[in-house]
Amino acid sequence: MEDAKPTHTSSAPARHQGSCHCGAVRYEALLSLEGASKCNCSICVKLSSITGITKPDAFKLLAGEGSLSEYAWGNKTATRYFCKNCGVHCFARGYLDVLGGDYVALNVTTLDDVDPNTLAVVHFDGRHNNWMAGPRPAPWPVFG
Amino acid sequence: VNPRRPPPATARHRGSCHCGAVRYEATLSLEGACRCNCSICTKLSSITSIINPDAFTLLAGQANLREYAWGRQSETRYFCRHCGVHCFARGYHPELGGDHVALNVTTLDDVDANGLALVHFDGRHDNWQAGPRSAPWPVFP
Repeated sequence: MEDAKPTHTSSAPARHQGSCHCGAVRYEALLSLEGASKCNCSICVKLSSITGITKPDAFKLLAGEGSLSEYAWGNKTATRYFCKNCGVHCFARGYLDVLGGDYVALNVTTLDDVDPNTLAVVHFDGRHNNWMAGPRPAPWPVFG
Repeated sequence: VNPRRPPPATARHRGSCHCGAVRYEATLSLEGACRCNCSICTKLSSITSIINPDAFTLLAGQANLREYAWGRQSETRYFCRHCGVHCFARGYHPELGGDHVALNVTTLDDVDANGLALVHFDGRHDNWQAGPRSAPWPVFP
């Protein structure tokens, strides 16, 4: 994890299990929930997702490859995967130098052993491409 | 809901999935917009506002909607087959006045959901009689 974002380096990763709602898609992942983030960009707002970044080799799809639909848009830096039966967005795959290259962005709300309300979620201003502002405890506005 | 209290003012809102295939408009009050700790509401992280079906108009995307119902099938959730965004649900509950539409407020294009005073239900434990509260209900145990 040493090449992940600085916000994800300071707590030990643990193994978590996740799934969509209908159970067709199941995965496990090694990740730290410190630095789990929300973002005000168009897709993160629609999905109200909480993101935890991990490396592709720390992510294992256990079931449901054939049940996944892909969604990519704009400059297609990331592809989001959702269950075509229940519509739950489970994870995304992408490549960004600042995230150490290839990464998997888990939707932490789909982890079966985590109560997302107990997490200290940080917030990014993705809507305005204002990544250099870094994470902060309060949400960034959608308008203005 | 206190029946003696005047109903909150409603406004017209527009909503959509992410790719734009599904578009709708609805007249609703965002007072009482809620989260719930049940299995699907947690996975989707959705924010729900309940309205009458006649206050909801699907403007585009009927053919792009996929349906998801489970368990007792008391409601059907609709998501866009292209981008996977859950926009609304339809259901029937006598305590909600019969037929209803449950909008996912996070898909409204003119609302910043972080500015809403949300309330929370303990749907996971079928504890509806506890009513809404300002703090989230736990997922575990």
